[in-house]
Amino acid sequence: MREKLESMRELAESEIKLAKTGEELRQLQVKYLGKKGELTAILRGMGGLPPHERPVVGELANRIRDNLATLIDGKERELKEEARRRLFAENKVDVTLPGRPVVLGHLHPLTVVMEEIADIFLGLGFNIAEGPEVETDYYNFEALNMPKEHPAREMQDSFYIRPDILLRTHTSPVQARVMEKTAPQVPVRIIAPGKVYRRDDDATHSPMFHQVEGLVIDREISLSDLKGTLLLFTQQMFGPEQQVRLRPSFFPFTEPSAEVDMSCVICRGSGCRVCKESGWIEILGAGMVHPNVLSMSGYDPEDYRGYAFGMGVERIAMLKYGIDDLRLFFANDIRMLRQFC
Amino acid sequence: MRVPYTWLHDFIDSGLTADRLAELLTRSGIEVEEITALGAGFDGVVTTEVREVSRHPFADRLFVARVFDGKDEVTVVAGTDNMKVGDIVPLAVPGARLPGGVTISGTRLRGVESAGMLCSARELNLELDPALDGILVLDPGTPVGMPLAEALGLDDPILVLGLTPNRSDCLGLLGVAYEVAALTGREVQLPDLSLNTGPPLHTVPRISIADPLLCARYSGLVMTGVKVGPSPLWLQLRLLQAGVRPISNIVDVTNYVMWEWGQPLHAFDYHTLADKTIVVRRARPSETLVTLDGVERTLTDQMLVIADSVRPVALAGVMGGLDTEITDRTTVVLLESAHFDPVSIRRTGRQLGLCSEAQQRFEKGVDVNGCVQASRRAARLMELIGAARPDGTITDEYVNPSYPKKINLRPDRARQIIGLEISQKEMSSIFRRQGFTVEEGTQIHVTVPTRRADLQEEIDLIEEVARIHGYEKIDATLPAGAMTQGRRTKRQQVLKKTREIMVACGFAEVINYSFETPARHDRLLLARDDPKRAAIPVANPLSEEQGVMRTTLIGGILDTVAYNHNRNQHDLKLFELGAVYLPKQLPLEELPEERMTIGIVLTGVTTPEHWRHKPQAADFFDLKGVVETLLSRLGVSGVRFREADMTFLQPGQSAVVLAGDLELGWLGSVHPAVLEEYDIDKNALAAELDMERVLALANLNTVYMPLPKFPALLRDLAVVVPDGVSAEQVAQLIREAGGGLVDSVTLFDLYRGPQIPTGYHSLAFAVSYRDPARTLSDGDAAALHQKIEAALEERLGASLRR
Ligand SMILES: [Zn+2]
Repeated sequence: MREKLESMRELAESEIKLAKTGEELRQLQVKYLGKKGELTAILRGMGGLPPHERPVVGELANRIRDNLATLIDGKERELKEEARRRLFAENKVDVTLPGRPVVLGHLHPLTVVMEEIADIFLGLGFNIAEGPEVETDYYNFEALNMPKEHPAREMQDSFYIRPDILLRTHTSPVQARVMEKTAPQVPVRIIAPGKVYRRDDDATHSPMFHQVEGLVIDREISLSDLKGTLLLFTQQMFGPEQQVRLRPSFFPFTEPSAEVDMSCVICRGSGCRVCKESGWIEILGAGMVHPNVLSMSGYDPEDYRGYAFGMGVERIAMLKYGIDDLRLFFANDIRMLRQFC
Repeated sequence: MRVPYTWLHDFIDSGLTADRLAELLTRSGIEVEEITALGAGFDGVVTTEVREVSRHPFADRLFVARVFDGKDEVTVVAGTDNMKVGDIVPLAVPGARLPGGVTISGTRLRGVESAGMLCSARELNLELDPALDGILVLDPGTPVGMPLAEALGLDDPILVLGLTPNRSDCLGLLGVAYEVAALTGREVQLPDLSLNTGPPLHTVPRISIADPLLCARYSGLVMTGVKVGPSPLWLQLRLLQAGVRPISNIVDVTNYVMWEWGQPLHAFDYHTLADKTIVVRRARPSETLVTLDGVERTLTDQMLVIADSVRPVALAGVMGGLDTEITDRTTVVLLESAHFDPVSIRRTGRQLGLCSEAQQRFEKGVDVNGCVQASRRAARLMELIGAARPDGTITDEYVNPSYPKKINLRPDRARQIIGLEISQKEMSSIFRRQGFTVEEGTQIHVTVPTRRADLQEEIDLIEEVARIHGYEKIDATLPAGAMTQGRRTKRQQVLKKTREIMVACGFAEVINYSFETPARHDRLLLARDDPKRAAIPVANPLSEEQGVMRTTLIGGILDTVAYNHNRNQHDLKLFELGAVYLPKQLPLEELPEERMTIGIVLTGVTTPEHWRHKPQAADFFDLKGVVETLLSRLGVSGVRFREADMTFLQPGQSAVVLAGDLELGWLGSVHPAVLEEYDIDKNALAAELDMERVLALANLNTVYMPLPKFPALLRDLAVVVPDGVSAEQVAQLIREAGGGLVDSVTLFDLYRGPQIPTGYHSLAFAVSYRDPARTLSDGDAAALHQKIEAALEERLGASLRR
């Protein structure tokens, strides 16, 4: 009986070693260790053994069972690892192959800039106001201190729908609308981004473009507050080293009025072609709200003051990204749009 | 406005270089756009004095001159002999370069050695009075032996001003001089303006103003002894610096004085004026006038004319008449200096398409109290250059006088508005330096002369103080006052979110013009009565291409697609978020509705080319998925799609988008005929949503739902339904029949084929059952499933497919 067991073990061990697949292993397990397996069959003959040999043979049988089981487990692990190694080899990739693209879209550069401007002023406690693009002559001109026949109306050649309705030539009518609605409450702190229209179409003018208007009304507002606000704005938009410079100018709806320059973003102030060697670039027009505008919109200019400014979004985008052709903004060439996120 | 540096210094000694002066002016708001100069197109030309002129010994048509160049006398051969002994003439010495690439060398001309060439104005490219013929004879007193460019002041700097419309006073050098005075504290010097005349020789003109609103003042001065001819060179050169062409002395002086005083003058041949009468009146209907340019103009009663007793002789302030113009034969002149209403001048000029320097000044406003001074200045100059002399005094009709205005300035208020401590003394000084009368008390009382029409009220004086004191001295502060919170409104948040979602869906934002060609309506094959055709026309578009306000965004985006296709960019995902302009009626009676709208177009393949994947052409469901995602992310509930035909979409692949019963927009495959119109040879999907309606339904507030406590059971369900039955109908019935225990219904297969009878199709759904209060058993699910199957069979004629 002992011999029987031993020879079975030898046979089983060699068969296990030669097994090539997990399936073969499982068959060997059944063949030797299963309920109807050879080990069981051999042990069934134990009844014919003398009683004192039974425990010895039993122990041997158990040891063989354990050994074989361990052997099978080990072999199984080995086979699995081998299979994996094969799989890995088969699935090896060229890691330099391009990844699968995730397609995200793009915001228009003008939107990017307008959002950035909005965020800066939201942070300063400004709200965002809106107004119609098809506007009345009253809000576009008269409420802004440009009565009929005012020569300044010609600074902005307009698209008319009918004699008293036109496409707004600037975002300034939003000033008048907001003041009219808010007066005599203060403070007013708004910006008004949007489309504006002028009858001009050449390399440096587009019949439609974008402006952001700003307006602050309160009791104690001065030209120096305007300067401070715009300094902060340009520093946030273009970098902390930016400086601003105010030059006297004329707008019918502000007085005193100013053109505002900032240090040239190209040459950082040392002088280049873009800034005509001056080191300064004009970025916006501004001023103290004209007393006539205040009173027409319901604020007594003796008690309230304010400042207003208006900037061209295209111009800021061109400076920020070094875009040299205004018309690119409305050509919507996807190769341009894809450069913005 | 061109400001010649030397000429300006006739009025004020600024003590500044041109560069420094330009800087100062620019900082004060009189922007100097550039500093230029006439410049010499030649080199190596010097002034010489003629010592002797004789005929060429061997050539009939040539002359020989001896000229002195300051050191030596040299001989030159000349083609004319218009110069006399003692004249100063330009000599191009050997080696000189003249305009047009001519180089001068010493030569022998018919046996006589010529040490260079005496030059004419034309050879030097100087656009002087064309009557100046032959060798250019320089003004007496011109230094000898000096480079010609220097002698003529061709390098004299010219400051080119870009004036704001309120500063018409700087359209004259005198006005600029006052500005310089304010900035430097130097004084303005006026030239001698006295008029020395005896009793008149000629009839005194009869001047009357019929329309005092359009003509406040008209003054006439008779000038006699007129000798029309070229002006002296210095005067012609100054006009050239100003950018005005010299014509002849009388006209040149009127232009010269206009440049100095800003006051346009006009000269009539006095003998041509019937009855020596001037009437300033409106033109009579269908009166005509041949203007200086030889054009016969038909006038209207909106136009102001200068007439004699019979007929119009000039368009007031715009252009003179041909019949009364100065000619070589003129012996007596009437010099007009007047003031006309800017609006009337502008209208007349506009109607006739004219825009002279004089007209521009009248349009922008001329100082009514400067008229007579300008006349006197002109008379003095004409006398000085020997062109004419005054006859009698100025006849001055001043029917609508303006007076200097006294304005009070509160120094405190000025300081508050400017935000800078400026002393009262400095403020007063700023006004005094410009020659304004100033009285001081607790306030400053400034009497502003009429030449500064831009100074009308206190705020104007405050600006004047800030401007002259210097904006650069103003500090940077931030507004004080109550804190405010900056926050986007819900509308602004939703629109921002919309852009973000579209970008996350892979779409690029475009911005198109708000106006478009009505031809786009045809390209979109819109029906005759399609409301989108009711677009607001722009009355004065730049072109028909921009003729109407857009009523849909799709036409524009399809153009963008075509534009990009032409550049070989075929796979596009585009959106635009912007207004469409819908009239409440046409023609417009009130402002139109501006409805925020989103337009979406998808063309080509959905994913870019990749080595692991074949790109797939975009289809209806790609776009529908985007629309669904957008609306669901914006919190719009109850979104559904209903088949609907639209002329510009492909039948069978077009739908309206609804939320409940509210129509939000449409989507579908663009009709191939439309794509042909646009020359797009790829498939394209398009959608448009009315964002105003979406905004009303949008909800960005997140409502948290607790996670389920009990597991769901998943069962597949495949049914064969007649083709008329939609997937949505089936899914809805599954939900309904499931009675609240259906957690989700997902369609995972649509099949038509051999095993399915014609006219039917098979739909396979994964249905997930869940009871929020307990774990469902297999039996529960089976029962539910059966119930649903029965309902489908009964209500939709579905049969089960197992
Ligand atoms: Zn620069």
